[in-house]
Amino acid sequence: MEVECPGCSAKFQVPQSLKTFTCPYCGLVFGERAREDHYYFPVMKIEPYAILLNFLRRQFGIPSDIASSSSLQVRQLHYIPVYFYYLHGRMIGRCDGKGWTEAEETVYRGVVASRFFRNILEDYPFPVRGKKFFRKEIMNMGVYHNPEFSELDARNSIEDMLYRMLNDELSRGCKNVSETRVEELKIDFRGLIHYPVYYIEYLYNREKYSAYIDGVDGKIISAEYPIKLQTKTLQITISSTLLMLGAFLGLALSFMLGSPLPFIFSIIPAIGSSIPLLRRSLTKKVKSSEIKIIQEESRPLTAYIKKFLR
Amino acid sequence: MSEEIVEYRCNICGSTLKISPENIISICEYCGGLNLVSEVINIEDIYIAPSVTVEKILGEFWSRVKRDIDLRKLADKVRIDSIHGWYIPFWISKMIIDGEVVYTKKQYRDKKVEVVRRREKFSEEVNMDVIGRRQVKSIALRELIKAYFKQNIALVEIEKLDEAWWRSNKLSILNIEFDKKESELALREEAIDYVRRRWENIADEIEFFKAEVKKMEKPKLVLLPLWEIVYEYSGSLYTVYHEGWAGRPLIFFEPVTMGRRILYVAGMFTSIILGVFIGSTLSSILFNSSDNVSLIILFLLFIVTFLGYRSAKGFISDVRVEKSWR
Repeated sequence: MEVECPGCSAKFQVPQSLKTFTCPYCGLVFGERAREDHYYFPVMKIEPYAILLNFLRRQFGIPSDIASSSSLQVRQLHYIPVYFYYLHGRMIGRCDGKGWTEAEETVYRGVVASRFFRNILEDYPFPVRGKKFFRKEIMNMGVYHNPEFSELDARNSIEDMLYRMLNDELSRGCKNVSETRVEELKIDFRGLIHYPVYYIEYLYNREKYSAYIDGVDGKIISAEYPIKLQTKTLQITISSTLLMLGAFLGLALSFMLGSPLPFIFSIIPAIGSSIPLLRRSLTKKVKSSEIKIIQEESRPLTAYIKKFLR
Repeated sequence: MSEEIVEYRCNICGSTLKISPENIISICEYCGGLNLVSEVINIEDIYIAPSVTVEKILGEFWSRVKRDIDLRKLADKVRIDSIHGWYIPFWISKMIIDGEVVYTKKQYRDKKVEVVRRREKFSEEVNMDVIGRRQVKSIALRELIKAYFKQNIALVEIEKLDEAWWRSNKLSILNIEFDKKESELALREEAIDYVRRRWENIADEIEFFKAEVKKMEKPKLVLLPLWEIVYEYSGSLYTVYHEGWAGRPLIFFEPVTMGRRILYVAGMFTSIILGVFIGSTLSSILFNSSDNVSLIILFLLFIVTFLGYRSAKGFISDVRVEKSWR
């Protein structure tokens, strides 16, 4: 449909399903519920490159002159559109010979409306505080991304996801579901948020490295960096020693006892220990993410054991 | 607090209130009156665990730094970069879940495996919580609510806090993003999921599961104080979270020291030695290869491999996470 901007009178086409519009000419945000539906997160006041250097300095094996010998090449602020939804669904399924079972889901989900940034921000732990009502000045603060698809498309993809979740849950409650029926389905649009992300490119030793940084709280979404040759050598030495020790001890005891178990039990942990070290040594640009580290480090051992037992 | 001003006026003196979409409560700058900004909740449903002072939080932080086996050696070089606190909203309720489950489970008798099929009816009481914000996955918030349930914290009705308390309060009270009805649905669904997961841990395979909320206490909104301290060590920044009702640390992000890296290398070698020992012991024991023994072998193999893998990941890691409140 065609809409007319109340600010500059420009006319432009928008998808039928959109309730909030951003004028491509003057940047005015208008439309039904514009004020409630459109938000942005303001950017932090700290220099993102300084945050990146702070993060890099603590990486194991990074050259000690990383801060003094690197130079900033690109520092770009991107405002990424994310549609937010509240979802509620209830589905029932007939379980052969046992009656009806039920699945219910109530979740909040964001759909990143930029194909490029989708991989970076998908399932991203957006911060707990700080959003503000949208202001058109935001469009001049960096690279402003308009949603690449309509709210209707986002709604369709989120609806598919909700169906998948309900079906999964039904199959967890019944081995053989013969018939399913949707009892309730609510997909509530809770607003479009423009979220700031910094793209940084820096030069070290004539090589370019890139990083993405959360523009709100400075969390490192992903960052590439070099590691010292000595560290690579140390990592390769440790992993080779582990593999040799595992193979030697395992083979010797397997031969003595006439069973493959000692070999299996020594070579598999040796491989398990060596993989992270070898992978890090053989990569030209090591990649790290503060978000992933936090998630991995905070997962308790019992979570891994439960997963294995399942 | 944000500078954004919209059409909200104090319900006591009529002065303009400063609000942002992030706050649930606004205190009038002129008369100090308490104003509920959110339209989706009643004031009598809100409870709070009042926070201790910033000085108390910092005291607990330094006490933890000086006690910690790794950090105490670095204490002289640790510097506080920033400290912030917020009240985080959680919806909580107690429920009784009734239901029925049909499941199978393997039983081992005289080296034989039997698959037993059971049908059970259950009635369970569960305490459930949902964070009143969208898309929040912070591990600090999960730890905060766990600590709250574990420590059985006394709450205060928000209406009963006096003007002096509001004037001295320095923490923002974050708004909720789903209302009582939505929270009720989320709590019910979470409770049934929780019970289902419990049965999944007991059973080998679930053939049928049905559960419903038989009784539910009226959900209440609980505001829990969370503090975030960012500290600097050797040019890098690390974060720490404290609960605010007593000030104790919840989660500590720490630098990986040289001593710790040596321990990780030892962990990698230990996984191999332990593996060889277990493999040899199992070889020496006479067994016929029943499912029971295969499962034990697989489990032990997983444990030793996991020990090696996690040690290697720890060795190359830049940060360590310690949960402190337990």
